[in-house]
Amino acid sequence: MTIDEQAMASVFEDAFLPFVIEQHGEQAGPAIRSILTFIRGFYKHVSPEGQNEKIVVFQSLDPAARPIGKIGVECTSLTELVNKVVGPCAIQVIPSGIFIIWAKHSIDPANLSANSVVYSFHQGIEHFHANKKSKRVRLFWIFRFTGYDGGFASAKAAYDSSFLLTSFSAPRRLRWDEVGANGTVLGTR
Amino acid sequence: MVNPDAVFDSLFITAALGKNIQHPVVAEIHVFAYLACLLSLYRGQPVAEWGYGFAGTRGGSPFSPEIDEAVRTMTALGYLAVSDGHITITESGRTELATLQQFHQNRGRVSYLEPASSSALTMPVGVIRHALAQEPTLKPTSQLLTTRSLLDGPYVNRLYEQFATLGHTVGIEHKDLLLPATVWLGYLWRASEIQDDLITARSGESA
Repeated sequence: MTIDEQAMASVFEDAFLPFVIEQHGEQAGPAIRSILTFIRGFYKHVSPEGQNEKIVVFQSLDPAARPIGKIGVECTSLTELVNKVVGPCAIQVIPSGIFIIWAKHSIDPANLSANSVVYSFHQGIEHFHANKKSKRVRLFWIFRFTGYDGGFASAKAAYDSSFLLTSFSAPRRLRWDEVGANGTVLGTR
Repeated sequence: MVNPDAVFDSLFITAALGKNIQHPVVAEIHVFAYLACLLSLYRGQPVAEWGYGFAGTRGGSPFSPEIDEAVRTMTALGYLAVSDGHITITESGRTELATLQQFHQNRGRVSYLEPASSSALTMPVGVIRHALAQEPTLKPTSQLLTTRSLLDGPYVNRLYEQFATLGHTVGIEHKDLLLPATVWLGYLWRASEIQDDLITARSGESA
């Protein structure tokens, strides 16, 4: 296999991780991991299809910083937090393992991103924000699912990554029960 | 005697995957150990310093006999638990891992094992497995339907050529290997899609 330098550069340009590292430097690495871990758990409890308001999740580069002046509600577990998701929300992920939620509170992710790594979800579209710039989450494997021609393995892979599937419009979200017993995907888009 | 590097890697990866994905399976311990090994090569470490080897299976998956033995032994000791093919680390396993992490030689391995395991946060495990199967030394095993030792022979040069391009693309100054890992896996996946498209186009022409 010859090396397609253009394809590699294209992946680099499309991916959100290099974008965040480029904006905030390597100090952003732990925050990215924390946010990705949070999101993965969050969408097990909160269906993105039913979420019409903007969700903003962030972690400050300085763990002690509380960039939102208004008092939020501290939660020690995801199950406690998800019950408080109402309207537009901002959620700060603290490295110690607690979360602070501001429900019914709309916030501009760009402003927040000056000193934080920020993820937003709104109307089926995900962005990462850093240093007042933003990058839409694009999936390099999304083509594989177009028309559901990727087969069982890809379907399972998609299912395992619930948060990235929120980039799909609601009717196209792949569900485990759409996978037939014969290993082909029977779902509708 | 059980390979101590494989013991540490098995415990570390199982603990990390338990946080990052749902229900990791035993085969994925081999996959992420192999990815960590490849990241060490990307960083310029010689293959021989990894501490144990890998073979490619006919299905295009990496397999390490030392990891296999370590998982069996750790399961027998109660540090790991395997049920219905899914693997988890037990409380005593976490205690053992915490002890092993204090050893100097293992601290160095974490800089490869952690980003390898964290790559599961950025893309689905199925995508990682498929992408890794396109890696230059692993790909021939599935193409030729044979089992062979990995990271030696003529294909290794291609791997290093890819890593040179990768370093040029992402910049070699990054300490955190999650960035090159993500870009490289994405590249392998995209390259396989382009190849699939070519095969589809050719079969369409010949039909």
